[in-house]
Amino acid sequence: MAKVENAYRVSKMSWKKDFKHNWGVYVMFLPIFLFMVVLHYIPMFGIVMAFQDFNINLGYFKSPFVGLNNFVELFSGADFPRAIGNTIILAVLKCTIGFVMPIIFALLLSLLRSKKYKRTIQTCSYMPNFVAAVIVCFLVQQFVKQDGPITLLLHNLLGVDNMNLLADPNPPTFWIIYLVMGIWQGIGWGSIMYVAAISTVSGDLHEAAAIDGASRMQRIFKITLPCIKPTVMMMFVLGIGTSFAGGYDNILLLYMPTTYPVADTIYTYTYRNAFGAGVSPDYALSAASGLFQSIVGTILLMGSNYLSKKASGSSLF
Amino acid sequence: MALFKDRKKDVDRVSTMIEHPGFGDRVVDVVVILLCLLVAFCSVIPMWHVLMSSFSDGRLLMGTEGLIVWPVGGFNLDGYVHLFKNSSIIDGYTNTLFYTVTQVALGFLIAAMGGYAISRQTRLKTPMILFLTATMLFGGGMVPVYMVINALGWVETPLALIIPGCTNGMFCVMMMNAFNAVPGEMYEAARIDGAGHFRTMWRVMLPQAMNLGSVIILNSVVGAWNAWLPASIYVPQSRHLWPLQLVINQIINENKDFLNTGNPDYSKYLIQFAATIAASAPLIILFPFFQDKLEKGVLGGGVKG
Amino acid sequence: MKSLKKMFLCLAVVSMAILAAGCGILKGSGNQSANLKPEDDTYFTMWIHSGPGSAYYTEYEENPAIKYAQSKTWGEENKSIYIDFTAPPQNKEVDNLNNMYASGNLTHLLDGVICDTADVMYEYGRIIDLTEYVNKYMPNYKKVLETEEDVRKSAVYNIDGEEKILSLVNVNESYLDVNFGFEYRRDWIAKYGKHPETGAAFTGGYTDENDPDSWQDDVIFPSGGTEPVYISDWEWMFEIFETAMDDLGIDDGYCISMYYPGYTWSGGLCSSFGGGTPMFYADANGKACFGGVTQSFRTYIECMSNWYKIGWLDQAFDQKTGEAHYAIDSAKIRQGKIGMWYGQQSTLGGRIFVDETATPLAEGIFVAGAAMPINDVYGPKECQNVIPDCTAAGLSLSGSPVYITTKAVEDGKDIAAICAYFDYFYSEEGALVKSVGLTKEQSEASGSDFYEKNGLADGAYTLVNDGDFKYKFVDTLAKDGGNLSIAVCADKMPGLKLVKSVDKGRAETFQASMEAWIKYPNIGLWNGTPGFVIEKEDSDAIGKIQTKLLGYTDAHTMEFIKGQKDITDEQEWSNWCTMLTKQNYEKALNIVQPYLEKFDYRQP
Repeated sequence: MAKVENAYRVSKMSWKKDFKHNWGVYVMFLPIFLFMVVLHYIPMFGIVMAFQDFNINLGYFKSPFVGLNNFVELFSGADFPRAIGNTIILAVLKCTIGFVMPIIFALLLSLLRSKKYKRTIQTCSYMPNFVAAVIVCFLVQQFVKQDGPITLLLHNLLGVDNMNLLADPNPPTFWIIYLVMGIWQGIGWGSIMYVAAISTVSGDLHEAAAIDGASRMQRIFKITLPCIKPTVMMMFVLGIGTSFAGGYDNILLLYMPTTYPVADTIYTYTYRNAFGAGVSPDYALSAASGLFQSIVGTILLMGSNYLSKKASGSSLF
Repeated sequence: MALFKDRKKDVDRVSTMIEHPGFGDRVVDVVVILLCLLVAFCSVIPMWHVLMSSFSDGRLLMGTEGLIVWPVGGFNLDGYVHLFKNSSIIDGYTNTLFYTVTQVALGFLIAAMGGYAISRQTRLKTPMILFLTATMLFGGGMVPVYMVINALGWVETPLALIIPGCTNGMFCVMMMNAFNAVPGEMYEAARIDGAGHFRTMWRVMLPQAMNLGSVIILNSVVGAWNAWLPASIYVPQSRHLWPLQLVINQIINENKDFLNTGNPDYSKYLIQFAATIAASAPLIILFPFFQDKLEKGVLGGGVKG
Repeated sequence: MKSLKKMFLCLAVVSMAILAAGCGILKGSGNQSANLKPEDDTYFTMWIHSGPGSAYYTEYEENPAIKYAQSKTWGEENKSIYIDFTAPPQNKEVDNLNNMYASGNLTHLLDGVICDTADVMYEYGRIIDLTEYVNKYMPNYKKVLETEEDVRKSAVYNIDGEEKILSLVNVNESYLDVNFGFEYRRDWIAKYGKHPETGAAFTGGYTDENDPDSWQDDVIFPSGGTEPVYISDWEWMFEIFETAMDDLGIDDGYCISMYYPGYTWSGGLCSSFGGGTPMFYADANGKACFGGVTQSFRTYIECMSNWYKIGWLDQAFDQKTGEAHYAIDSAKIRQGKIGMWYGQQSTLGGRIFVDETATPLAEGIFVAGAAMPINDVYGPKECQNVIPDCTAAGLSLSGSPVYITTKAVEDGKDIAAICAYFDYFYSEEGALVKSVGLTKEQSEASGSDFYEKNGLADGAYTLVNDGDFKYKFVDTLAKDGGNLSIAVCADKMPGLKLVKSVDKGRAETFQASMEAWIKYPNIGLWNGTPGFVIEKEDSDAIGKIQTKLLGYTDAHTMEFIKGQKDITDEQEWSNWCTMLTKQNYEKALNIVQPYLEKFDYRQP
């Protein structure tokens, strides 16, 4: 006779009981465990490169150990503080405005009455996801260059200078362009998750609320949003954790020396210093930068998980 | 007859609720449709640009700036001819199809099992979750992974393309969330009925979790379809094993320097555009059907009330 | 849905099982010589950087010239050789090589184009010492080493007091073409210019409408010749370009383009003022210099800022960052709106013109290549009338090396035989096979139908006796716009590459343009000089300082050019030099100077 577990009882259970009860669970965990150990944990020995003066000819096991030298070199660069600053700003933008847009779009989709339209619009919205980053960056350049359509629009409406906006070294310009580009690329794909979550909200709840006289807007705020809260919080926590580290490689295609003050992020800064012109590739520096970003990402993930648990009760773990 | 008509309309409707829209609601409707159309329009622009460029005349296209809304210089298929005249691209399609199917199936199975495992209340739950999350944040780099794969003897075999990329920590965590969202009563009911963990997950909880599950599958499909980096590292010599994107990448890069001669073949400029279309068209076309089938699991198997 | 899932799973498992088993069969299904097996001692594996492209053949073994060479026998025992080539995917060559090192599975032969220098490779035990083999089995190569100084410096290293030959180096018969250079619309000069002394109009035009190279004119430049030589010639041209643009109603064109930092990293026009590139170079006295603080660089900027002020220089040059230095604004160039630019072969002659509707402004266009100008206008005397010495044109007769790795010895391969095989390509006959192609008889002997299928049934070349030219491409090759000329010869083999003996069927004006691009070869920039080897530690230190310096100059040179700061102002110049001194360029110069002296580089 199978016993049913609950959280209270589990923490009181002895190991023997837990194993007897849950061996099935552990067996199910085995495949992913093996997978991760072999393909992710064992290769982690490569992290040692961040602490070495790595020479490809000597490999991981014979390159001289230099302790924190690579990190010192990374942090002491004159441009490092502003690279961190830009990364933080872009990450914050990505996690706030950039995070909210797919949700809004998913809500808009849920308000559509006709399924046919919904399906067509959804399919259209996915398309930027399939177009290579190079082409998207090229298009962005075409739109905001001098006499480009967006530039002219902004010039006529808001009096913005008619120049290549990507060359504008003044603060918000590059960040706004980058944020809008990210939204443009990601809104359709990012909304899949939320559309799926919204569609699980029971129709009966909506009907009951409508009978009680709630308008559509009220139904969205009082029913739909709370129901998808777990999904939203999970994506938020994951988003914060990964936003610091990744996804800035398309800046390489968009930035230029004049915009380094606003566009340089840790990734591009590392790239320039480790793989720039005239140097043999400095893999160790790149590894140190990656490790640094991983650690920051972990802290952010832990922190946001904790906050989300406190604030809304649901969290990643 | 009246009944028939109503039912048909219902199928097309997003929700089955009976509503009597007032004026305010109608305004909202219009605004919503306009906004959605705006998003759809903006999203189509890049793909349209690529599509129209791919049909243009290469030489004239090089002299044209800005967004391409209609094929420049007349309609021609030279870019596609360059892509497809090399038969290895057909191999690329079949290989990619195979890799995608196997990767997604295997990956989903593993992720589902893993996600189930960490969603249950066990003493090892938190360590297991941390174990998985750490893999999302830390990595050793490409060369160590290569060394491991080489030691396993998977280099130059399809296994290197199927197994390493099939799943990741993120998917497991998402499956965990999906299982967490399933009402506890269903789980308890199944367990009381004597079902083992695997059967519980497979028969009872998975159908419930398919909303997130379908998202994971879709992401896996796109990821597997677009993958070329693993192949370039693990099977560089075995061209018959190359997936579509790597073949296309190779063709594009080989033809990049076409201007380095007095008699350039300008249609080579079109290859990059034709390649985007050739690679993403199957996905874009099949997606709506795919997504429908998967999401049907939600409405079909959903518990009402 | 459940049954669908089950089906998927079964499919996945079964397929994987089959493949896992079957891949052993599939894996080796490449091109194995009917006679040789991998265990044989004349079966070699070779890593090559890239092939001529999959449009011709995917496996390099199918190269007809290789097939011909392998149809012969080699070495004292007359053995057959077979080479199994492996080429990495494009853009992944470095990763592929690193993975090969990491896994320890080197191929037997290695195309060293992106490898470390031979002494480093030898130090880490990757390659073998070839001295003995060269002396015994490679008479042709030995002769080359004795006659060509460049090649000897690249191949021979002094290891522990002994001179060792470590690699088989490609030899170029004469200097190779460069792929880009300055180009200008000469038709505008002919149409809108006036003779500098008499004031008469010029005449110029095409003799054959269908031949984009058949241009003739009687243009004379202020310096007296038919080609632009000095900066003053260039400025005279810019004034004519302005007239032309006014007349044609071009208001979004400009006279000359510029790479976004304000200079090209290999020098660009900096060297027209003597040395002066913002990289490290050796001046005429053999002293290591950093161009960014020199008077010549200052004069260069003075010239550029003057051109910007007048409006000749592209007013938005610093915003065109997404473009390569040889492809700036290619859209406008192809519409015919630009007067002068840094470009490639495909825009020379009349090739830009398509037809009246598509490219109306390019009607009658003729583009000619220009050599680097010599400054005769700006700055102090020492920056005038100096021959440019830091240019993009290479100056070496040695090409990339081929190594024989220690793996070949480990696997017991017959090194003597492969050396005899490679030596063939250093002979005159082999050089033809390596760098030009096959004759009809050779193509038949190779057993490959590649030549017939590509319109070369009569071989790749004919014999001629026309000045330097001894061989001439057949028409099909001369007209080809792709890589056919590389695909028909054994390009990847180490050997003698014939350059000046081969008539590639180029028109006179085209050839003249390409020669203008190598008029002033590079003497000052030492990167890539044969035998000039800097220790890794030092080279890394120099590289890091260079990156920092470039980081500053890339971002701030344009301020001077655009007039935001005044280069002639002493205070501004002093600030600039101070900022650069902070980046510690003097340390780098001190590191390099001993090497310049050691290798006798430009030492007086």
